[in-house]
Amino acid sequence: MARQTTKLDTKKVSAELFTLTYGALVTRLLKDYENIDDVNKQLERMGYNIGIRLIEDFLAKTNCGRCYDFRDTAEKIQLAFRTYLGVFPQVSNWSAANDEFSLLFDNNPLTEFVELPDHCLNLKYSNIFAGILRGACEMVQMEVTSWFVQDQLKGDNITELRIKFIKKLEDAIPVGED
Amino acid sequence: MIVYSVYIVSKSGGLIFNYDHTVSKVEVEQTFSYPLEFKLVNENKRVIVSFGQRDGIIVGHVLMSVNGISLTGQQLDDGKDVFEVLENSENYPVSLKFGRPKMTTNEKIFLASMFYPLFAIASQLSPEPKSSGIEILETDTFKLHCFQTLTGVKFMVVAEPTDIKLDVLLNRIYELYADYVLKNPFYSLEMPIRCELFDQNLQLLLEQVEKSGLANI
Amino acid sequence: MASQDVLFEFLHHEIVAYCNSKSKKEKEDVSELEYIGFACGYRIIERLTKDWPRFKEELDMLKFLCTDFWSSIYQRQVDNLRTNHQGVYVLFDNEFRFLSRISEGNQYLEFAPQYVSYTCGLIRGALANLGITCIVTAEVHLMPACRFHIQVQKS
Repeated sequence: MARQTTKLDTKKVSAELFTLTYGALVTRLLKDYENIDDVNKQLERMGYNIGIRLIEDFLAKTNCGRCYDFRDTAEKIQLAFRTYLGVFPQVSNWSAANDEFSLLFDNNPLTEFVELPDHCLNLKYSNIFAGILRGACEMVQMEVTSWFVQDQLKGDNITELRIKFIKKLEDAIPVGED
Repeated sequence: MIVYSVYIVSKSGGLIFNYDHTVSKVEVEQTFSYPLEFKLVNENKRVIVSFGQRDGIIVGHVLMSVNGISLTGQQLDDGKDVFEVLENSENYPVSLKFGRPKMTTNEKIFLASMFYPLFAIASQLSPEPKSSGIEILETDTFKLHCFQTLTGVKFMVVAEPTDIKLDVLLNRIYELYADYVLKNPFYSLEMPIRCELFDQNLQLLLEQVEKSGLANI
Repeated sequence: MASQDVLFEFLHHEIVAYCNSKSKKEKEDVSELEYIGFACGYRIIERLTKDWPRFKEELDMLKFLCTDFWSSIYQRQVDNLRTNHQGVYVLFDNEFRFLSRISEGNQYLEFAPQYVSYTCGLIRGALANLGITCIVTAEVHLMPACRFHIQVQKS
C-alpha cells in the first residue's frame, strides 16, 4: 500500500518532546514536594547541572571568544537559545549601568501546551532556564542571576526573562585572562 | 604527521586525561661478557645506565631484563639482586635488554601540575594584558601545542616538530570532550576521565590525522 | 551531536538522576521514570499522527513506530522488527540514542536499565493512545544496542 509521504519535521518533534518531557517532570516534582518553593529550587538545581556541561558544548561548537562586556554576553545567550531551542528571543530593556537586560520571548518553548492550575501560582515553571544560565555563566567566571518578570503562563502577553550581572568570579579566572 | 600524546588538565590544574598514541620503542638487547663497561645505578627505583654508553645503549636507558628475566627495582623476578648477579663473573656471558624509560602515570601527573604554574608565569610575563598563555612549546624533538578553553580546561598535544598549526586538532579534541565526556552522565567534572567512548574516538581522530593530515577532520 | 538534541539529552540525564535520588528502595526504581515516558508518549503520538491516515491494523502501527516515530525522536529507524504475529514484538536498535554517548561495550552496563526506562514508557504511552494496551520491557547486552520487547495485552 502506498505510504503517506508527509515527513515528520524532526526539529519540531524534538522540541515538542522536550516540552512534554519537561512538563511531565514538573508534574512529578509537584507531586513529590509539598512546598512549591522546593520545586522551584529543584528545577533551578537541575538547570545548573545542565548549564555547567552545556557551556562547553556551546564553546566547542561556536568557538566564541570571551565576553568583555555584558552586551556581548547578551548576544551569546541569544545565540544559545537559538541553537539549542530554536527560539529567537529579543534583547531589550537595558538598565542604565548596562548590567541588566531582558530577553523577550514571543512564545516560551517550555510552556507551549501548559496551563497553570490555581494552587500553583507561586511556581516558577521555567526556572530551569535560570539554573542553566547560572551554571553556564559560572563556568566562564561570571556570576549572574535571572528571574521572570512577565510570564505568559500567568496571563501576561509575553514572557520576559531578566538577567542581571552580579560580578566576575575573579578567583576562578584561568591564568592569562586576568 | 606523528602525534605522540594528548593531555588534558582540568581548570584546577590536575591531570585528568593522558593518552600515548605513538610510543617510540627503543629497545636494545645485547650479550655482554665480564666485566661490564657501563656503570649501572639504582635511581628512582629503576636500574639505569649512568655512564659508559656504547653500542646504542645510552646514559639514561633503563635495564629492562637480564637473560630474559625482567626486574622490579633492583630485584630480578627470580628473586636475585641484579647487582649481585652482574658482579659475579660466573654469570657471564649475559644478555641484557635496555630501553628508554616510560613515564609512569605519577610522573605524568607531576609534570602536568608543573605545567600549570608555568603556564601562569608565561601569561604574566606578557607585555600586553589578556595573553592567551603558552600556545606552543618547542624543542628539537617535539612540539607541544596547548589550548586553554574559556572554562580553564587545557588541552595539550605533543607532536613531532612541524610548522603546521594544530588548532584544528585541538578544537576537534575539545568537541570530543564536550560530546563523549560531558554528555556521559557518570562523569563528574574535574575528575579523571575514564570514558571508553572518548578513548576510542580520540584514537580514531589521531589515526585519521596521521593518515590524511588536518584537512578533513 | 546536533544542537537541538543536546538539551534533551541533558534533561533526560537530570530526570534519571532525580528519579534515582527519590527512590526509597535500595534498587533503583525505574517505574517513575517509565511513567514520565508514558505521559510523554501518550501525548506526542497525538501530535505526530494528526495528519496521518488511519492505521489498518496493529502491525501497521508498530511499523509506524519503527520508522517515522523512531526517526523523528531518535534520529534513526529501528534496525529490526520481529514478531510472532500473536501480540509479541521485538524492536532492535543497534545504536540507541541515550546509550550511544555512555559507552560502547560493557562499561556502565549495570546502569543501562535506567536509561531505557523512559523510552519503554514512551512506547507504551504511544501505543496506548493508539488503542493498544501493552507491556514494554528492554534488554541491553552490549551497549549501545538495545532490544525493546512489546507484549500486547488482549482484553
